[in-house]
Amino acid sequence: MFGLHYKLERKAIGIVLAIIGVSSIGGLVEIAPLFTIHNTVEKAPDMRVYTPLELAGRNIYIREGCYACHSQMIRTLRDEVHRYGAYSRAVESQYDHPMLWGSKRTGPDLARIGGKYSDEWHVAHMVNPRQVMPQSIMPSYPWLQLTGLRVDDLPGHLKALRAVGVPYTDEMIANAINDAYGQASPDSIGGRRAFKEVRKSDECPRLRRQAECSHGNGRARGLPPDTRQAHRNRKQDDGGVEIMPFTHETLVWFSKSYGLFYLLGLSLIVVVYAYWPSNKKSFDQAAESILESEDKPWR
Amino acid sequence: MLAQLTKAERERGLLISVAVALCGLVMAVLGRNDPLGIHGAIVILAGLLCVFAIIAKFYAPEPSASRLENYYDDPTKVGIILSMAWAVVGLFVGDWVAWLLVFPELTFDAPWASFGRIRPVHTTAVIFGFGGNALIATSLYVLQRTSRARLPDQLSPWFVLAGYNLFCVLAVSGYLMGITQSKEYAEPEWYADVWLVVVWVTYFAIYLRTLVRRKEPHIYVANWYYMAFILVVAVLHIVNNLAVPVSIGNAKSYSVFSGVQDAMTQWWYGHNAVAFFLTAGFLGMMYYYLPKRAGRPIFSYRLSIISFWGITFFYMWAGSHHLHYTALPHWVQTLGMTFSVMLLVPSWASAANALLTLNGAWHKVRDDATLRFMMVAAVFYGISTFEGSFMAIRSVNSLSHYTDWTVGHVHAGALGWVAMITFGAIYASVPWLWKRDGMHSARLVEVHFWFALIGTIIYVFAMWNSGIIQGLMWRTYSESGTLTYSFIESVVAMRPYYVARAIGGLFFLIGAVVGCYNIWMTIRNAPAHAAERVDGKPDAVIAGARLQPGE
Repeated sequence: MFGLHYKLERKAIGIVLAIIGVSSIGGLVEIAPLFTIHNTVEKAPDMRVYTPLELAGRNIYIREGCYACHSQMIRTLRDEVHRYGAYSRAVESQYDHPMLWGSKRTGPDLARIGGKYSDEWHVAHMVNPRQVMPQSIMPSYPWLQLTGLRVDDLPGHLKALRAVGVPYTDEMIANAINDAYGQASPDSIGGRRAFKEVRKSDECPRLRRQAECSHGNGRARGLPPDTRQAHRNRKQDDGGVEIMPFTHETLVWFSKSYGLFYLLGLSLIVVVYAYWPSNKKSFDQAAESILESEDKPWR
Repeated sequence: MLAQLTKAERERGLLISVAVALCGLVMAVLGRNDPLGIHGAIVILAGLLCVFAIIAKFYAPEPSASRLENYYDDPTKVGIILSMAWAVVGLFVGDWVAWLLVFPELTFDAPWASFGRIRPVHTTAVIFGFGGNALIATSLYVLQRTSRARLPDQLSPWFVLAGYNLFCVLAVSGYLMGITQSKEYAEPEWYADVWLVVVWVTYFAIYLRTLVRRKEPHIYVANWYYMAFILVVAVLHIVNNLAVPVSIGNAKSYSVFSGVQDAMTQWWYGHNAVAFFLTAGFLGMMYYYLPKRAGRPIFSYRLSIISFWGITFFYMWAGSHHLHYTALPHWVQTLGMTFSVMLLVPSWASAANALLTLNGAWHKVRDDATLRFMMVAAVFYGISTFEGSFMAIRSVNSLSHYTDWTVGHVHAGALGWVAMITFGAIYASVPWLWKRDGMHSARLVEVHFWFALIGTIIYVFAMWNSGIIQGLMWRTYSESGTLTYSFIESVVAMRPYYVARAIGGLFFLIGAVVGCYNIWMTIRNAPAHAAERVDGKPDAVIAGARLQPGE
């Protein structure tokens, strides 16, 4: 066994494979199931995609690095729900490529900011935040008012998003530019046609961001009940589970069986290798080797 | 330096440089209506610069065969200088953004100067510019010494170094123009990412090809860490950056992942960039330079192997602790938390191994600021890994997440561990590389050390305070059951700490500038008998008269 290890080591490729093998497991176990387990993302049938203009706005948010100071992820904590609104759900960022959950709140969370202030407030705030909030430390963005928005490539943006799984139709892509103009100035005749069917919830449209009705550009009628919460509250009384859900119990079971054996096995291999008597010599040599004079290659 | 290349290598180098310039031309033409065009121009410029550099030496005489009797250290030398240059740039920009939080008007209403655009310039310049160049430079140095083998060829290390720095320049200049993927620590867009893959594969090939030529059957443990760094960063980089560009002439791309899967992938990347870029790579550095400088073998070689596999295995699970209480499924959060806590074992094993190596050499730590840099780095490594495991616990994270505490934690690791071990390694290798008896001024190393240490402590304490205050203010309820503080009140409360943080950063920056001066003077003040080497003659002629490294 350790002759084999010797050979693997000699070839260096052994260590390479071992590193890849050992290191890839964590990622595989944590990421792969997120794509396959059905209750990771709740179903919200009337969840709609971003309009071209919303998408362009989102790209400005990305371009200016707003995510460095603002999160868009309200955690399931009482104070966050009180401060910002209903906690964020997976389905809300279903079409977000990439997500903008953020990692730092130098400024407040923005997940449910839409509709909270008037458009005029937002314009004034962007031009100079200290005009509306004297203590604010947000940078001013006066040039946004003077910079035109590039719209000619919007169909390309929608196509790229369709390629990664956002259900834009051919019609939406073809009408993307008009739609953006239409949404920017709703009184013009050009735009809204393409997205009319999609925005069927116009009279109560806010619900992508807030579980209550108000005016604005929402993207889903309402969020479905939180299945994860429901599962946690459910008593153990229902015997026949039709589909095996990957839950906390499943995880605990897995951790205490295969996961544990795997962890112990791996540790055992490493410790045995490190303390195998015949390896002692080469380890001692290696530890000393760097201290020797070594000013020249060996051949 | 380029005269050392053989004729064939010069030809190949020329070919590659022309090809790169042509790629730049294609980018510039296709992206003429897009910021991509400017990046095309930068690539053309970079390609032409290399073309001219090679042409200038193209007809120089073929280098003598005696070069093969020595290690090939020219790329390491350049890498160290680049690393220090990036350090000054990155630390300067970092301090600049720190002051922006105190004086928000300092943006002068210029788009490129707003916090959101230059904050990634800071992170990229210090992590990838400073850290990455230091890793490449020292890894090539350590690889050759521990393998007792010269690099397999002379062109590929230059390709890696130049290509990597081109990536850094594209990244940093892109943010200023608004080109970003918005994935933290993976902001560069698709074309820069593709380029980095090419560079990285070449880097890995150098490593394998040199290891095959080694003398000892056993691979010294520092190389294990360096290899884990190269390999895993490649995997992370490729997976996290999978994206579909809008068009071939458009800088913008859309990540293939969305929402919760994207969040998990991003923090799997983000946390393991910390693990394998900022930890494994620098542990490799530590396992060579610390024993070497202390003149004592590593305390326990076996422990270093055990902690190697511990780090390689555990870290990959820990990323989800960045997503506690979010829409990420609960079981993934739990896994992330569990493994983050277990991670403390191999982390402290490494830190203890480093400190115990110094037993019997503590008088050297007292006298030698270079060794003290490495010692303090190991202490900060221990502190910040403990803090990291602690903050990954869900209930602690509910307070610390989204606050400056995270920023303080990151900087305890980045300034205290990564930068300190790097400065130690650089101060150790500069005299060895340039064949000097020591640094130009040992006192200035001492000055740098104290500036760096005081700066780090001010910074970290400021952020601990501000982070915890912030977190507590956000969750404080009044007796009537309403939230006591508005968000803006927490912002106002941060101001003194933001001032302190910016001052701490300034200390650290001054230290790095002193370091640059010291390194520059060391290189410039050639001892009289070394002057003849300037014409490119091999070191071997005079190497015998020189002190051996480590003496």
